Amino acid sequence: MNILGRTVQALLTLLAVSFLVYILIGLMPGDPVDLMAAGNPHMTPADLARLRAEYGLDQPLLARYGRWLIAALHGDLGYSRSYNLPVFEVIGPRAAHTVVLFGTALLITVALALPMGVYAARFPGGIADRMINFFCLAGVSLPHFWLGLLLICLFAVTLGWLPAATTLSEGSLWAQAKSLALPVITLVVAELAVYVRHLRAAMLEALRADHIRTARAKGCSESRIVWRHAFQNALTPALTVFMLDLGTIIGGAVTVETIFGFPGMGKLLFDAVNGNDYNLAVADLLILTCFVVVANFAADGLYVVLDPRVSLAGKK
Amino acid sequence: MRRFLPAIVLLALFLLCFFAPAIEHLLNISSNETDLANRFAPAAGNHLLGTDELGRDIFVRLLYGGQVSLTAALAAGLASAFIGTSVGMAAGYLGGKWDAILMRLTDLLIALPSLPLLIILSALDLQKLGFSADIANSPRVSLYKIIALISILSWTTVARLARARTLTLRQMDFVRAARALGVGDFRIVLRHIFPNLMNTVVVATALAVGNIILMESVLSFLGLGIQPPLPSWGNMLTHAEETIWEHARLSVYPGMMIFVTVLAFNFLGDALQQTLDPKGTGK
Repeated sequence: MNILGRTVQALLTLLAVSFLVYILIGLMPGDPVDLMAAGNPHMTPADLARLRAEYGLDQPLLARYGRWLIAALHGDLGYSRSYNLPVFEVIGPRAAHTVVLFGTALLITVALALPMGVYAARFPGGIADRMINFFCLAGVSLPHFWLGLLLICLFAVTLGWLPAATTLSEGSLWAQAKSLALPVITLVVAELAVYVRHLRAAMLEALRADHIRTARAKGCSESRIVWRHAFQNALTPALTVFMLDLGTIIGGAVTVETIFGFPGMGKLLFDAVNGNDYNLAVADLLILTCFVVVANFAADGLYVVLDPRVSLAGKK
Repeated sequence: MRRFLPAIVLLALFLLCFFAPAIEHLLNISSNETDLANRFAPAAGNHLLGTDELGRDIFVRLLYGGQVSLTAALAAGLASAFIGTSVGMAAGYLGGKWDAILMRLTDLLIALPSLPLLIILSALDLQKLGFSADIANSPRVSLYKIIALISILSWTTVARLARARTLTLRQMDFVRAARALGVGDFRIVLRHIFPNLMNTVVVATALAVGNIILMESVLSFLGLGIQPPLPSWGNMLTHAEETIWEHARLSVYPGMMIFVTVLAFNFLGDALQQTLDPKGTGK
């Protein structure tokens, strides 16, 4: 599929998601006017009807979606009820926090997953492979939030080394880094298993190829076989399956943020849903979806770099 | 033997959980009876694992929570296997524009961050869908709701696998022979294609059930899934953030149950894969 087709598909995905979510919001408990009425007993039904007309809530859902979409395309995602701020101003700093958390965890996880996955695939069936395999199965079976709780129990309650709650943007840099430690560790331990599994499977496949046997036969050094001949071929399929999991991995970040009170987009979404702040919830979900879509888009570009046989102009 | 271990663990868990009323009777405890004089009691006497923050017996509540969590997981697993197989076979067999539409839909769902979406979906007000207030707010319905929501989002893997298998199978001689004999499309799919992709679906479903348990437990933990007083392993951990400082025990047991169950399902999936699908068509 070419670049144009890809772009159209990505945009359609976002459009479909925004429509779906907007329809769903209509099914959430209490529209904004109901909530105002609950907060102010002096309102008469006439006041409510006037307010509904003012907010456009008396119009059909499709018309409302159209208006919302046009506003959104102008960069206006509405107003957050609970923060009394435009949605963008609420999400902005939290998105930055999430990127810091997610980025740190991603770097550490990849740094650990590469040697583990490659080593496990080099000696399949060996002790190290079996241990890594078991670790992976355990890792994907572990509820993230429970792992977080256990780590709090160990490092914050029992040992008292690290704080249980995250405080960003206050305190010294060292204190901030320390408060970031537990959420990052939780994410790394929880996600490492997924990365290693994918990488191991792709590496095993790559090492089975005929040209590997040829390389061995002509006396190529083992490290050159592994890293140059096999690893490069394993990266593309590993990246593909990883991208399929990205939505789930981001979901994991949501839970981890909630447990540690981390001021990021996942915690924000959770609070917004609990506080009936749906403008905020929709925008938050849309931005998270955007993130997945853009990452997939970027991955398509990356394939070209990783594998010269792939070209964006022609078919894959 | 090692291959059967996960199945045995799961069977034992099921039996324990579904005989919970009998065990409750045997221990002479009532699972929902609160006893504020006896909160956070250590394991002693009839309270095999002690009591929780309301003085309820942890062990019996774990079993009832297991009933709920396992029911939710199996129901959602079966539902998503059904949806996924139907969509996958339809896309693979019909081909052309049906294939394109169904698979775009699947890709769309895969691209969504599932947990954030579930968090929003779980806030849906059933009253606005025409249910009465009593029904919409009962704990029992929170169970059905979570099953429905998770099923809607988790059929995609099965659909992709079923489609891939169908694409291969429909080119095979026995399917072409059936078509040449004038067998109807519906019958071909049901009698000739479906039995041949059962194995793939079974393996994928076993692996999906583990994931579904994780999803359910996160949502219930966040207070958005199964509503108390109906216990589930997830919502038994809801107050863990407060109790963990003094009564870490309380947060260990339910999490342990989730972990062991999901692990067993994942091992079962792997074992089934080696037995039913050794060539790895389901990967």
